[in-house]
Amino acid sequence: MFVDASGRRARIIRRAGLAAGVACAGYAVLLAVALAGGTPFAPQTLIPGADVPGGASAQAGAGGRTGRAHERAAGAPGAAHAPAPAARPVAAPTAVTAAEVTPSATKGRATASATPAPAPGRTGATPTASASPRPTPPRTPAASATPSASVPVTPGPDTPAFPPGDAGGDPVPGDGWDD
Amino acid sequence: MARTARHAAPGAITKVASAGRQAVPRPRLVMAVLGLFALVCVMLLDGYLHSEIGNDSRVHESGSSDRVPASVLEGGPVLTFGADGEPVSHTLPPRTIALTFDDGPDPRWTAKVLAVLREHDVPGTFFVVGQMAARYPALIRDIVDSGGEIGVHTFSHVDLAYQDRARIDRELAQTQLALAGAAGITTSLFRAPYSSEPDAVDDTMWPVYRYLGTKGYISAFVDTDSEDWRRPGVAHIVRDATPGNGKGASVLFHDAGGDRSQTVEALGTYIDTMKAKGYTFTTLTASLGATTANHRASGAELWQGRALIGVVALAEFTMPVLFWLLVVVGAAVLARFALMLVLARRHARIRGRRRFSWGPAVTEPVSVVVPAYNEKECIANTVGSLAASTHPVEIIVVDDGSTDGTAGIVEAMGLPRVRVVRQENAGKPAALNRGLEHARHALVVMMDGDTVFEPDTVHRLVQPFADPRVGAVAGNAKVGNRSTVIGAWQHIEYVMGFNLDRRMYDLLGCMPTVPGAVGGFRRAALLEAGGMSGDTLAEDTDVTIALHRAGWRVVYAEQARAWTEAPGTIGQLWRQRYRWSYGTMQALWKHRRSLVDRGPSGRFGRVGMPLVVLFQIVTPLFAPLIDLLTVYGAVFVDPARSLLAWAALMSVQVLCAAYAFRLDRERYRHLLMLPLQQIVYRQLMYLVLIHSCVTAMTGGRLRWQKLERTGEVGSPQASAEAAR
Repeated sequence: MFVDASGRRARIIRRAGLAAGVACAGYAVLLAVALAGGTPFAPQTLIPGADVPGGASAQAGAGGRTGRAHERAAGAPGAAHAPAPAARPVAAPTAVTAAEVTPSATKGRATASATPAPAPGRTGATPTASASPRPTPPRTPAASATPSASVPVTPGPDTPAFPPGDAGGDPVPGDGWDD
Repeated sequence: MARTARHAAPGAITKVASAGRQAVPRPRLVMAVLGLFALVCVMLLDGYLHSEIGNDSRVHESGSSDRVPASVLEGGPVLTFGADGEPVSHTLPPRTIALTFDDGPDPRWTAKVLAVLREHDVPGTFFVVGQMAARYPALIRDIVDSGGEIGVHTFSHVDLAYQDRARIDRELAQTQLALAGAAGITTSLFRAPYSSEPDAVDDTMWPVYRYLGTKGYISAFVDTDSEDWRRPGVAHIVRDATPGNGKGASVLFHDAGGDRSQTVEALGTYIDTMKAKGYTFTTLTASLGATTANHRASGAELWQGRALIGVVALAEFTMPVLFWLLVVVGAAVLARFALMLVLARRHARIRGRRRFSWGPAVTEPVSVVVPAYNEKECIANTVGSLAASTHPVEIIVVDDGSTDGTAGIVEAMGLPRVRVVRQENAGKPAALNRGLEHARHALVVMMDGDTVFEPDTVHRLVQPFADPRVGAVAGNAKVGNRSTVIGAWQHIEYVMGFNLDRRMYDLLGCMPTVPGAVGGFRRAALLEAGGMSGDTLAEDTDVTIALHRAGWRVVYAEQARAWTEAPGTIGQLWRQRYRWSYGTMQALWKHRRSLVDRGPSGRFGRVGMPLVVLFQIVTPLFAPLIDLLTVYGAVFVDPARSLLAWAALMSVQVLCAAYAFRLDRERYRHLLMLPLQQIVYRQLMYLVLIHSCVTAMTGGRLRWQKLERTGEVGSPQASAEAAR
């Protein structure tokens, strides 16, 4: 009983055992690779400020690493892992122009209707669907007087570096600015 | 095939049983170690993902915030840092709500939340825990596809106030990796567990946020807390979540971490209510004018992330399987104990009654067959004990070609009722058959050459034959050399495992083995079943099953005691048990047809065989699982509970063993060995079983030796036959 003189069953089992052994070793290796990896640094996301029209975030939307030089000059060292250049928004609190209201964030954004966009992370430039958002910039300078004082003033950002027309949606001045 | 068991030439798997050593060949060992290692990795990973390993569940109390900048404390719910390291607070514009959901993704709730969001056409921002993201990558994809924004909520939901930088880095990195693998994204958004409004930031957390800022994270706090996790009711949730004065707000909900049905219920109402007030809903960074915090992952991070998701998926699949196996095996073990206790008690009560009898007393003479191969140390005692038997016996010693003068010793004793039959070495089954041939009486007792009987053993053994349905009787084999540790272990095993079992099997009518050391048979029944067969290594099991299939009853005579010499070393024990378990599997396989047969054969096949397979092969085979999970639990999870569970199982065993000892009127003293036996002996037994299973599967040939003596022989004639 059970004896297989030709050794065929033994060969099959041995091969299966070998495959299983390799799989086990492979699993352990994969586990080590997976757990050892990853970086604690976050990708760069720019949050526009009062002075910087949404243009900054347009670049941010593109992955944050390809921001224009002068935008990044103020806050971002060349490294991609710069601290969030949110310094920008408070750099020059004064110039709150209608143009600023055009956050590039609205670019491509269906203002009223919700058009579920494909994963924003992938295209970067495709914002999430939402009703027309009100950009925050005007309030920030007022609220964070202290931080703004210490932020290097960005020469450039006063004037929108990116055509306001960039914003796909129409800027909607209105009740968002009243208070 | 008849003689190959004893004289097999080394075959393809020669390493299986080398001369006298423990047979554990290299490739199999490597494979076993690798498999075990992978299993341990899976278990550890699973523990890591469920916060069983390396968990830190401390939550710090809010302290002073002297060193936190006022702008932060009084600022908005979003915190970033400038290039110079100065903090910048951001507030949401008026009438803007950013719905944020913490602790997800959770298979029970996240999908429902997403459905509500989709229905109302608003996006959400989800701060996910890395562990959950790794375990449920599809949900991450769903969130991203729905237009939601994802933020990091650490990997294991630890309070970062207590963690050092290395740990913080690891929590962040692994969460990003999980996101990369799940949906190909990384994120710059972060929210700390146990955080709340910006004014709750204290001196212990402030450095953490600064550190996160240097890593490029946008830290998010909460403007209004719906307190949904308290489950206060839909109305309360909506009210608590509503910001005052038309202000914009980042609102906190939870999509995991408990029963979130109220959250799901409240969400729709909340959205409608706020929309009616003129609010709009966006993701968090969108409300601040950024595009999104989700970025595409690529390169090494993407692939490592995928590797992480892959290994996690396998671990998440394997552990529940193992767990259910454990449950099944555990249930089987406990059921067996219960059955054993109940039936053993019944057996003892029925057979112990004064009025019980098998029938008229059996007084006819009995033939005792003693196969002997090189038993010069023991044969004199054996034959002497038989000669002192109170029952009329005819003793036939079959000398299987001994080389040490065993036959001569017996003849020299010159006892009247003893006959010696010599033959060329042909194996124990052949020797027994020869003895059967020479037996003159209708009842035959078969024993081993090194077993010693008591004077009344034969008499008690044959009484059950008064019942014409009885075809075989199993006696009560006892370990004689029980003063050593190994002897004591086997003694416990014989008393509990074999004899308690036999009482149970007797009543169930499916005793798998009449022990070769002390067994009584009807000669006619034996011959009808074909005598002893050399097909398997366990001819005793083989013939017992054959008798069952022929419709005979096989019973247990607990008073018929016989004393055997159990193996004294681990090596010998290993070989003996290896042969037994391999032989049992052979015998069961040989009689597999009984599963579908009719009549008594079918009864055994459908009742007896499954029981035997379950209790003697399957449950012992999975016993290592119990040990492994106990060790894992004790080391990583909760030592107290794991060891308690193990102790509970152990006490059940002790109970059974104590009862077995009581029934057999054995001294309880030996039970002291039981705990140690459970730690060493049990492992030995299941290793032997696994080993013999592997051998059975691979079809290797075995060369068997007897316990203390070498069995290398063969006459040229036997070898020639074996070579066929």
